[in-house]
Amino acid sequence: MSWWDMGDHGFYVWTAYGLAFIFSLWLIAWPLYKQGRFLRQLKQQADSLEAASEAEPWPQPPASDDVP
Amino acid sequence: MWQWLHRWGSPRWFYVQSRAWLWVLAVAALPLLGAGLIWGLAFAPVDYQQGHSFRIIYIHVPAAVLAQNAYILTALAGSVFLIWRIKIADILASVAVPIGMGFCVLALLTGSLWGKPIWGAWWVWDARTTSTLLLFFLYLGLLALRTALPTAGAAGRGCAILALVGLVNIPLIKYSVDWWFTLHQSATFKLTEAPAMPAVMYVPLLITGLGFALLFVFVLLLWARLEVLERERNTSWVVALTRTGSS
Repeated sequence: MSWWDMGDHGFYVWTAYGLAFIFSLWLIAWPLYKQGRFLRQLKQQADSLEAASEAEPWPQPPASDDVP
Repeated sequence: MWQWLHRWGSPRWFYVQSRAWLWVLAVAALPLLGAGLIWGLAFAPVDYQQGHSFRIIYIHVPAAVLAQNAYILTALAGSVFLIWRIKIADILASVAVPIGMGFCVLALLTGSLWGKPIWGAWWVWDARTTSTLLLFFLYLGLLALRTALPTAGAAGRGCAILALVGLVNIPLIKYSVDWWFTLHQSATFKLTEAPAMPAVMYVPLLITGLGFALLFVFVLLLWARLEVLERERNTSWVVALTRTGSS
């Protein structure tokens, strides 16, 4: 009987440990992935707003001597 | 003390301060999990009745305990939000649900994997397994309710009330093995009695239990930080965060 077989209980034991490993990885990786994507999206939005305001500057108020 | 707690109630303060805690928790949890699981898998002796399948205890028990504790946390944080309207309390209550539900699923699956070689069945409708399944459905209800209600405030209040009502299931899970005749074994650790198993078997269980508890707090902070960012996306400090590129 090898240690891996665990007396015909190997399938149950290794599946349980595998599930725990995958679940722990998901618990950590999922919020990190979503946070990275969220911050990238927010930065893109801020950059595009900044680029738009540089391309089309706000209309300047008329000079005082133009005012009738 | 109150001032310290009040500061942690601020989403910005929470986000900034929790970063250092993430490292502390990760550094503490990893060696405990590694040592406890390797000890349980490779060095704990074989159980004379259950053979090697008893090694599932090192995953199953911490997962089941955390599934229940996450639910208690959801109810407590929910009631803090109901009474004092503290945003962080609702954030913690909302992120504890998917994490707790995950631990509940892990407890049910590993219990099933343990039950098959020992009981001869993947599932039995005994009091402990059924009340744990009920816990899973309570989590499912909380997830559904949060997405169904239109505003964050209404969702927070609704979920807090549901979590408080469902709290009655927790003592039911805990004492089910004492109140009813069940196939499920009784508690491994009792306050009034020494454990029935030898130290070489229960010490790794204590170590993995502590490791999983620290992992739980670690992922709770990780998920809560993401929730803080999403809820505070229009505030100046989050916009500033994207410009500096720090996370």
